[in-house]
Amino acid sequence: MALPEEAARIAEEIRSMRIRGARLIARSAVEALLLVARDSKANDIDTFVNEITDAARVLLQTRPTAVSLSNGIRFLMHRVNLAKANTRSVEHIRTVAIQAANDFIENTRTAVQRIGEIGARRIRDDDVLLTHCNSSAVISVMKTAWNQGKRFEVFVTETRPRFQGHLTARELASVGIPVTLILDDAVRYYMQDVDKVLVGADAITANGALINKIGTSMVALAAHEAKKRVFVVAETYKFSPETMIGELVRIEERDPSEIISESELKRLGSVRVRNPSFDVTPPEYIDLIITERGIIPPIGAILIIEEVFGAVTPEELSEYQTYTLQEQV
Amino acid sequence: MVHEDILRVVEDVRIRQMRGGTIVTHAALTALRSAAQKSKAVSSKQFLAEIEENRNYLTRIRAASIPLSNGLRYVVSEAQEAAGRGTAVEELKNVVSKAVSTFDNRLEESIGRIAEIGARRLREGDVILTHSYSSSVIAILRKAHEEGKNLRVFVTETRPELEGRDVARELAETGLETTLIIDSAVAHFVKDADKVLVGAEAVSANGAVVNKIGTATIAAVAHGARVRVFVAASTYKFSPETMLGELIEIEERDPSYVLNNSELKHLRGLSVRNPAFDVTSPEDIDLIITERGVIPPQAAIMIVRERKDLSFLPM
Repeated sequence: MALPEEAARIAEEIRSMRIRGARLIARSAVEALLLVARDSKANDIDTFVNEITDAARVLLQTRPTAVSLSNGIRFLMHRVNLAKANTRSVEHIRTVAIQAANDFIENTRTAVQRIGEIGARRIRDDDVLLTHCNSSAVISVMKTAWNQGKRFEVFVTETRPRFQGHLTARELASVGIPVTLILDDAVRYYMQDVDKVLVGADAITANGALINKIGTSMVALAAHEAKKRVFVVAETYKFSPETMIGELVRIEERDPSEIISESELKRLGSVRVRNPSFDVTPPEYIDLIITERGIIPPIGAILIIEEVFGAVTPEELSEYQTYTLQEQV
Repeated sequence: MVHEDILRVVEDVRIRQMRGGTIVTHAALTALRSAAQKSKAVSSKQFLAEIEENRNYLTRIRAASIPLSNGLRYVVSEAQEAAGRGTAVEELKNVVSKAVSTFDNRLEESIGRIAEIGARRLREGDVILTHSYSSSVIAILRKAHEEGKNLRVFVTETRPELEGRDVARELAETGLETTLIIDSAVAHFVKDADKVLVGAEAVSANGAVVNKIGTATIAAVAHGARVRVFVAASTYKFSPETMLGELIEIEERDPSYVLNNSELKHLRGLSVRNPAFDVTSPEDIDLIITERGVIPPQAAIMIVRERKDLSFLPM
């Protein structure tokens, strides 16, 4: 089916990657659905829901690899389908769809700030924090706490191969937070000095496992072993409903040239290079997940998924494809 | 006055033209011998003073390296003993030269034995993961490969000095199927590995192993994944001082290895720390492969006690 003009334009921009970044992709897809709901001429509820569902399918195909895209769509469809069971009024269900879309969009705008406020309550004076990679949610927590007058220091890993830790270090240092940059390999060495580890998330699975930048699971292990707290800081649209039905999140392997230049690699002869972007941190190493809806233990991930996105049925899997986590470059 | 040969080897080590404790020890002892040969000392007392000064200088290039301090101590104590017997300067030069050769040979023989013993621990089809540069590890893998075992090896690049690239190249040249990964990817690949095999900068009396930064995390990850952790270390790497409660000093290297100076300037208001080694707990180690055989880390104390009897380790 053809999307309304404006919605089709958004879909095209997501497909062509003019719209990029997890948050923006999800927000834009939901905006497109909002337009479909608003402009629908359907006279009966089934036609209305079918139109929305068809549009959702088209949008899902634009970037089948993005966790946030399918979550935005799920968020809206879950509420539409709930309402459909309880009403025969097209106008009512239209209101529900528009309300759900607006709620989701609003949440993508405010989630990071609210996570900052909630997470900052967990930071105390004289804490020594450690983070890996570059998470806007983690930075939000630290900056909020710092602006509240709490005084602490932060170890930041450089985060090979692309050194996103440098970005984090620079941003924290720019507001005056004392920052020490260390090698990824030095995490365990300094763990005795650390009170809390804060990391972001690329995805969180139904069992509370974390998928995040390569190396995160070793940071969490070192913390767990030293009995230091591990906090994952994640917006709810990072939770992965597909994992409820046993689907695995595929992990992207990126180009070897991020690790070693082509000429240098040639010098090494037959050596191969492998460069996975993410790894999986088991829930046992995680103490808390800080979301914009509050703080949960990793075992509570399933509750967030059900509440926000609805239960997933195996039949849905063909529509909501398994995504490969890809780094936003 | 410290001899120029000494200064040169110190500089070479500083700028990382040398990898691994064994290679550094060999270079330091060779420089000590060369400086001794060229000595213009007129008395044995002056000769000893010179050699001790050179020794002190060389010890500092890598505080954590036990074979280095063991080797230097052996050579100096041989010279001291000979001087005590009234040996003349020219003859003392020969004593130093001989002592250097003896220690060098022992170290080299120990690696040959370690290769034989270690290779027996590897099986057809094993996937091995290693970190940093170790002459012993490379010798074991080569030996097993020569014996016809098909092995695959994951090698970490080993930030910040990236000596893992040299390891990968040497292993690939030998014909081993070698994959280079970043240090952070160890947890991701550990489930594909059968054994972790690393060298040692030093082994303490309780079986803890001092090795290149990151080793402790790798051993902990492997231990958690029930992958065996083997440490290849000649007995010259066992530290007798730790029996007396001495801690092994962990050197912090120049931050510019982590972040070059222009970048550092760019990132204002932050500090960089760069420890070179870390300590792997004995609980995360399954075996230590020495030239005298394979021991559990808890038996390190036996090796240290035996070594105590040797003249070159006065306690």
